[in-house]
Amino acid sequence: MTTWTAYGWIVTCATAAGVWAADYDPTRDPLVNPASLFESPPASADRIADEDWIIRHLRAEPASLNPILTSSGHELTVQELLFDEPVVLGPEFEWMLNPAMAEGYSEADDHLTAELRLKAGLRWQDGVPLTAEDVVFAWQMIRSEHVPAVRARAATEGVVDCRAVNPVTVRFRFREALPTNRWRIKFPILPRHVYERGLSEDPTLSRSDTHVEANRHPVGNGPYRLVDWAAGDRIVLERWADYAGPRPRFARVIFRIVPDGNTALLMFKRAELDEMMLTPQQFARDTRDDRFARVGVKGRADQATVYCIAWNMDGTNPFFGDVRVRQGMSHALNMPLILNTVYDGLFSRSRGLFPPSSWAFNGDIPLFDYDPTKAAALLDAAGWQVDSEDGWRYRNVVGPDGTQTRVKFAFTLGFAQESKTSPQLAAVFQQDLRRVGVDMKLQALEYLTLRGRVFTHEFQAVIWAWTAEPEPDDAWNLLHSAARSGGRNFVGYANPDVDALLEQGRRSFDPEVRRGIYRALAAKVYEDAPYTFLINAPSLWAFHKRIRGVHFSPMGPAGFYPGARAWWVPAGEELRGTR
Amino acid sequence: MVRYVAKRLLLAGVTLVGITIVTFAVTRLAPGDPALEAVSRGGASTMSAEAYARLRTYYDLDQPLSRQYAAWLGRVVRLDFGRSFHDGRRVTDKVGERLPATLCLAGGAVVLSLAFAIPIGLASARRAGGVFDTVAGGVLAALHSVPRYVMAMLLIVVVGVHLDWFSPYGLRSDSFEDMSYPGKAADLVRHFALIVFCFAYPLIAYQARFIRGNLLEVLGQDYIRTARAKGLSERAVLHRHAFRNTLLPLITVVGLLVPSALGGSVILETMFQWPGIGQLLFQAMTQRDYPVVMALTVVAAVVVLLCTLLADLTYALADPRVRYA
Repeated sequence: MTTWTAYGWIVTCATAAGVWAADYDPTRDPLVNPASLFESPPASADRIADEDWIIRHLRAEPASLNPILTSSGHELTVQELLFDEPVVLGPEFEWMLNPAMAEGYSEADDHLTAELRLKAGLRWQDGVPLTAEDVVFAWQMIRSEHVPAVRARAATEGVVDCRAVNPVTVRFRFREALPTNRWRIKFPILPRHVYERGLSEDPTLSRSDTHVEANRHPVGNGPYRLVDWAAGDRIVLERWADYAGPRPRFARVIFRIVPDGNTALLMFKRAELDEMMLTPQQFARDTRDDRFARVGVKGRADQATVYCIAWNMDGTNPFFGDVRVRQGMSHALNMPLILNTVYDGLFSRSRGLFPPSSWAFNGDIPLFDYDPTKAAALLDAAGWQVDSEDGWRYRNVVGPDGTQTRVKFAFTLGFAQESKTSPQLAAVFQQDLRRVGVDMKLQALEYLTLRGRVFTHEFQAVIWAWTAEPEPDDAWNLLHSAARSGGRNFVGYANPDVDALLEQGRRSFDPEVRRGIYRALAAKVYEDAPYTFLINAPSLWAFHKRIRGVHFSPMGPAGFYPGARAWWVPAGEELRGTR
Repeated sequence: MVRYVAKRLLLAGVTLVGITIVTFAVTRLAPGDPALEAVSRGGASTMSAEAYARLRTYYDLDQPLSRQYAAWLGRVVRLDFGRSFHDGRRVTDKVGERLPATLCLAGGAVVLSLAFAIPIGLASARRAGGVFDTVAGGVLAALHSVPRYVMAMLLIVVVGVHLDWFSPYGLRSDSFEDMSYPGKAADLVRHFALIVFCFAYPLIAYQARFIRGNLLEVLGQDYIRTARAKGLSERAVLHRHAFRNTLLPLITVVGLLVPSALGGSVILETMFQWPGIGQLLFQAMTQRDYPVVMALTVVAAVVVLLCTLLADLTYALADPRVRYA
């Protein structure tokens, strides 16, 4: 207990320091979002540098570069340059065909089958032709019982059959007629001729020397091929000269593996990295020196990441099953102060389930205002009365055996200790709640431990976050009462109205009707407050000042099509490579 | 002698098994497991109970702990450390490719520290209590009391980033392949200098004081008086007669310092982006990569046990009064 008190003090002091330093206004920082960063490439190719290298930042070492086995952001960052997929995520999170690979997609009238047509003459980097059989093979591997394909498996849920009609056509069959089916065929492909060898010996694709080697030095079909992987140090890619799509702009892409963000920023200032993601603190404070200004600029844009406080409502605590309590909590939270001090004015306040970039976003939802009086009234109404002796709130709770016990409103808020902002947010909230008579304890946990607690429902409240999928139907898994076991409804939320809206949104094929449904859903969920929505995290990045052509999607500057492939350097401004 | 060595080796074996049992238990007791790590690697959106259960089976985590340990031990006695949970590679490959980077550091640190410690120790002993002895003693004591990670941060920020004299990160530059041979050598020195110094400086202090103390003890011996009486120069007395007699205990001390240097490598390698086994251990722990953690524990334990054994044996060799009881 004393540890947490001490911890609270440290964090409070840190927050006070934050208040003192909160004089940063990104709109007045000349290094933020300069026009050059977003400049489109000139029409004539000789004004674009052709031999430059770019050095990119990786937060962790990839476990594998086999695209069906990967799931982390840093793995996708490398893999998207090695592998092309027929269906890709567009710049605004839209479903689109990859122009370098696919020619068409059509669904039957009953929406139960679909055909995907590939371009003719595609090849793998080792020269072997790429056909519909490779797509089918990848689907079979993703659905295999033995292969640990977490992300790809979840993505292809609902595709019950996949077969090659001819070398360039793949036919899919779906379990149900749903408007979201086209997203289900967006999965990575694998070179069958590489992985089929040794499949009988190792059906997991990940445990034999042959497969491990294939996963580390993959035969891809993307704009770059892997030339070197020095463990714990760097991964080097080189332009694949025979790539069928647009000519890759950099002769080399070097990924430096740097887990520590402070180290990465120092490397960036030494021009040893050309791009990196920044924390709010780094963006607002640690990048204001001359050394940074000499080499870099900063980019900032909205991102589809939602931060919230999740309240556990599965009945294991006597607090959060009552909607008035959750609303009271939301009113007690001093969001204006938090936005200004904890997030340095860089983050925008969340308006619920869907981020502003989503077509399902509802900007008309009335937000919970910071109002301790309203919070107190709601807690009173829920039966939590202030004890005049000690000032905390208590309520008589009836146990399963009918006996009454007097329970103090005291609970624990868990958060990730690695986060730079959550501890400060928690400390502000702790003070807010003390004012209304609620005793909140803080518990900093390692990310993995925190996830484990949430996964097994062993928590009362946590600071939680997710990146919204492009398709709002993703909310089904988060909020539907049927997703309480097996899905991601870790808070044990069950609301028949919400269930009904989720079902309707999933079935309708009319985009306007769906939009109406999801707007209503977002409003309902915000008001019902199974989560207290906090902020939408922005993308905060540093780029070397010679880099052009950056676009920020709702997921950041990479991870979509064309993403990092569109970056370019003006001829004459090359920094590396052979000139 | 043979019986003594056999007995010590047997004891070392028992200790080693004890260490592995404790490490095995501790790593499994830490919350979270590799299946959870894998299932939540893509953020909260891929977490599902079905995928988690599937992965627990994939990693054999659904077996009882005792059976998992027995299976592990059964493989290790055949020198098979299994495959990493993280990337499926053989653990021996993963450790093997990183071992040279760490050994270079440990070796470089020992050589560098001796290169400074021996002259300083000799000079201090020659005029014990003199100006040099006092100043050197003070400076070394001050250095010795600065934690390695503090020194590392200072060096990285000041000497590495602001003055830009050295490259504080990694083994080599990105353009290393295109450099000439002298250029490559210079590049390696630029990358080696700071981290090796961070490893070495506490050793300098320790060894210099150790040499000085031993020399002073030896210099009071009768045979030193004899050497002086023969008319040998003070230099010859100190170097040839006195210092040689302090060499053996010095070797022992260096042997015992190597494991401690390996321990320090976890933090330093992480700070300097050094792809050695310290960094690997740190990553493996955060990823709950049990096979790699276990293998590195065994390696470290074997090194420590061997060094202790060698130290005891050399002591016995150096001083016949020590009996192999």
